[in-house]
Amino acid sequence: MSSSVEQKYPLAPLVINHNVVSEPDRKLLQDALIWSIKTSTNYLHQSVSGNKPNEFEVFRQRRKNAFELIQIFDGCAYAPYDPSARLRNKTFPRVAMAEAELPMHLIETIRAVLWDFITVPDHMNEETHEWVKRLMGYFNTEE
Amino acid sequence: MRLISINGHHLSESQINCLREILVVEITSHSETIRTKRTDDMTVFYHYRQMAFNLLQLIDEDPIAPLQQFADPDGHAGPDVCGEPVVIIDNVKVNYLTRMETRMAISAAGFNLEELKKVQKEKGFDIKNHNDLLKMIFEPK
Repeated sequence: MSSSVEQKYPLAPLVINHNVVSEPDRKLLQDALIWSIKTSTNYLHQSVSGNKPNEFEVFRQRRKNAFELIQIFDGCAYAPYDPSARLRNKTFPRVAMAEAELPMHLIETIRAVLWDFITVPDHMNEETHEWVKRLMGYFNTEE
Repeated sequence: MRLISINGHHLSESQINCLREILVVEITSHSETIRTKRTDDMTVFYHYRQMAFNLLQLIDEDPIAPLQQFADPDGHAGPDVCGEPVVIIDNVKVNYLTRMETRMAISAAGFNLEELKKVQKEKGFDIKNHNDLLKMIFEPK
């Protein structure tokens, strides 16, 4: 990659709650969300082949939210939310990105994805647990 | 049982599943590219990743999929499909699908080929070659 291209298209930092997400963490975050899209797709496939269980809508929505999060984290789509919304709604979450705030349903999605990821038997190891815990920390909504 | 027809070709469950896998691979590989590489036109990767996801949503009957993004430049959108229990991707969207196919074919023939082969092997698809599938469904009948 030429330096001119790098200068022309710099990689925008991902900032969540005033914390710059490191490149390794950024990759892990993307990996977890891609994993969620894959597993949700597998689940939806099994569901549409037979009867639709109650969780069908949950996984379809989760896949949609996971994709939206990937886009936001890549900087190709800012969260289309009114920045002043929090002023009108005291309960609006305070997970702030560099130029946007994540709404609660997306925060819940990323938490659910990370939680599901760690509960997969193959992922139950100290290293994975450590980085999942670290990523969870970015999405703390407490003041 | 649902029916998915693309460009007049009815897809079997196995073929639909194969298409799903291809689209997930597309999303994965484009995401990796977007995160790690800077090119002269990153919007291409954003665009195709978005289209791959839209198609994935559509074949899973997502009524809230942003179908208007399937519109071609002439404004041929797909609101008539939205919400219907049977998903038919008809020839109205052939222009869109042709563009999609172009990218997918390039991608599948290139860096995604090995990944797709691995996925097909793992899933035990009865499709000999994913290119045959893509060629079939994206060519107007």
